[in-house]
Amino acid sequence: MTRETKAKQGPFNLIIAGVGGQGTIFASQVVARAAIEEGFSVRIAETYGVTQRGGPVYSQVRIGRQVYGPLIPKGCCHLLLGLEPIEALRRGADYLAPRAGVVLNTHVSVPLETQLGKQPDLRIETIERQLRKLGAGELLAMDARAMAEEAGGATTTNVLLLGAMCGFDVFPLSYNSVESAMRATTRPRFLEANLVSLDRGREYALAVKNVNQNN
Amino acid sequence: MRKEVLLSDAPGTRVLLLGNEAIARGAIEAGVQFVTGYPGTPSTEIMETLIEAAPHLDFVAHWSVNEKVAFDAATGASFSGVRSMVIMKHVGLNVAADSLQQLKLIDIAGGFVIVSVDDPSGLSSNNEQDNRWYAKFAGLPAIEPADLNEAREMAKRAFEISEELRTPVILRSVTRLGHMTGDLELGEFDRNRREPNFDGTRQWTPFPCLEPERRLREKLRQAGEVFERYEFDVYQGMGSEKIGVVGAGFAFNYAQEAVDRLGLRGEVALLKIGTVNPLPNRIIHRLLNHVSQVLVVEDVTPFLEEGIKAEAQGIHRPIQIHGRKSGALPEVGETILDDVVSALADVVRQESPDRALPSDVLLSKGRAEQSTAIQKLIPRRQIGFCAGCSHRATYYALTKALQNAGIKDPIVVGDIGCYTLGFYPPFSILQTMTSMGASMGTSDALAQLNPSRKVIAVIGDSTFYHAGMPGLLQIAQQQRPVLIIAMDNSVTASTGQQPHPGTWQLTDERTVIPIEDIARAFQIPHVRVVRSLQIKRLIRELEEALVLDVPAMIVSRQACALEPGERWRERTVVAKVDAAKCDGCLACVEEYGCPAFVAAEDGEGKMAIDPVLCNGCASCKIVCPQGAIYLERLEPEE
Repeated sequence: MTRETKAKQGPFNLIIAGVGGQGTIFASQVVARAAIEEGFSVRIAETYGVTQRGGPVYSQVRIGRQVYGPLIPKGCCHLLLGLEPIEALRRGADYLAPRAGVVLNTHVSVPLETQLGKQPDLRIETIERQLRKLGAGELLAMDARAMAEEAGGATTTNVLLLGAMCGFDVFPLSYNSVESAMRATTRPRFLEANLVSLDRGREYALAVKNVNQNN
Repeated sequence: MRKEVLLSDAPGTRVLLLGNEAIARGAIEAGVQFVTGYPGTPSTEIMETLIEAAPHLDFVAHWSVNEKVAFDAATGASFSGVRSMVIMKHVGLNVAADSLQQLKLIDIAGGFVIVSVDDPSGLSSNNEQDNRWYAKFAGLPAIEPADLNEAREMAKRAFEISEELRTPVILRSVTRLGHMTGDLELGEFDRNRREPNFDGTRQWTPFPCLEPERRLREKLRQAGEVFERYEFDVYQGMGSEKIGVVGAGFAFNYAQEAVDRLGLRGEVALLKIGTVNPLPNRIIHRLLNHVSQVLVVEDVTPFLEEGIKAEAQGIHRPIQIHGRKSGALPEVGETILDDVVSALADVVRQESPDRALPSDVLLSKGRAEQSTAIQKLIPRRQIGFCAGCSHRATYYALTKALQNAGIKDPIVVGDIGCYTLGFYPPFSILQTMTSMGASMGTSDALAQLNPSRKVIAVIGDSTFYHAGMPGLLQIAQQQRPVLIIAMDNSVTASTGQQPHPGTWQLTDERTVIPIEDIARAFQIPHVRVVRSLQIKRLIRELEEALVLDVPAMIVSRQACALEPGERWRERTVVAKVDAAKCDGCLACVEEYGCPAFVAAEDGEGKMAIDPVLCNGCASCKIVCPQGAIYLERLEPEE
């Protein structure tokens, strides 16, 4: 399917889910800039303010020739970028479309009340299983934080996952425009680290895809 | 950042902006010369953007102490003949309402625009009040944009309209628009810069009010005609459709998308309403003349639905009006597209039972049940204080001081700000929270009526300056034995670190006015200032103050951990857990709850500290009963 036909079927819907401070807004801004560079229209709904202090946050990104509101209808998310796996499932449960792509960081951020034993734990294996039961198509689970520590540093985890997302067939934008948007969005002192992690994420996604195709 | 875009004089360029930035750009295009406001999610970025642009375009932009002061200041600017704007969140207009109700009666000079960003569902607020009613209540013209381009355009045109009618104009926006990023086109700059010139030959007051009241009603009638020139209201129909879908402001997006999802484009008439007050009755009648059913989509209350229903009385034919009031859409909460799709499908089924509708536009029953089942598995994630936050240290110290003093049933009165999270675990210590500054007056009466219990009021620095000062004056004058803890992190933190009169980090020449100086001037007999992260000393000071029988204030002061200077400061230490000493008692999580505390990877229930999340504040050392937390010095980076 070409990018053009994808856009004609209504907007492409992406959700970026994580915990306050992980950089969901930054990731969505990079995608938005890449989208308008490619001539698309874009609308993003974000969580700001006191709601973001360590709490659940998510950005809804819609890309297309014409986009009205920024809110994605239930069951219509084509690609889910999970910066934190519990939060990925929280949004995936309501929004995942059949055969949607999922990029999943396996590094869990355990909620306070779970640490205190006041509510049950949710293990990464369960999260992956539930996402598959929801009809996820391509699902790439990776310890993105560990990988980022070896690439541009732990604070570039969001960027590494963004890079991995670029390797997905359903993602309608090219890696080049994401990289160029990254250059335009990042503060100079963090740019080199971000570019290293962005590239590492994409390489990893492509490598996994190759292995899967050869098997 | 986006400064180049905001200052760019290249009309027609397509750019990426936040809704709030689009409103700021509209004000810039209008040649605004004076802007002020008080920070409040979801409106804050409008002022922040204008403050950034101001030095480059030579206009005045600064935060005010509260919304009333801001409103009154913008009034002075308008009286001086320049275009002025005042910006606030929905509840901020309550604070400025007295001024609003007076200014509306005065023939203003420079265009005066009031920006109110409403917060449907109260995503960052205590309520979801619908400020369109303020426009109706005050009798003032008001408009609301449906998208980014219109946000920019309306912010700009509001000044012209205000000057033409010589009355303030309200621009109503909502969170979803203000915090939406997207593409839009830049407009042209208005080059009519004016020299401030206060006309002292006339009297700027509504008194006596009857003639101004009469004139205001005349202005509102004129406003209806003026608005028609701007085409804020758009009718899309053939004049024969039986169903009409109406969207107010931003909610029009949901109306359009619902029509498209159900494949009804061309079969139903669409009406976009951009004018709030007065309602555009001519265009509403154009729709009512041919439809038999209308679905009204709007955030938050049935303001437009009621208005259309009143208009439909004049049509001698039954027309059913559906919306939030009729029960077709939920009575409370932000508009959700799926609800609009389902309400519109119901209207279609009622009007033409034979019309087939696509079956896959809403979640199937099975898929919805699966979603509910999974949501039950997912743990709650409560918001909490950031790593390095001074409020955590203060609440911890208060908890310990109350234990040490043997006070078991204190009344702890909260206020508005980040420290409101004291309602939640691990502290769960606050018992009341209403409006800005309310902790002062409320604790005064609680102490008077519950003399056997210790009353403690916590109030943040910005909230104290905003509306806490008069209440403190009352506590002082009544000599009420309330312990006030001023949780002073030196900025308006919850909205993103805006400065206020106590912000000592300011580099300009403004005088800093510390809270303790005000308390002493108000004759509070016991005032102490403590660094929040010096927890032992803070506990001692609180213990001492808790047993006093006079008004007392402890200023617990430490810069916000996210304050720009703090955020990027190099950490010199990180906290670590000595695995040999940790016995997994979880006291650190139960009593302190820093997000940097994580389970150790050994799987034996011991704790560790995430070196990335640790802010290096070193305050947590005190909380471990085993003394297992130690500090590791970091090598300076090259």
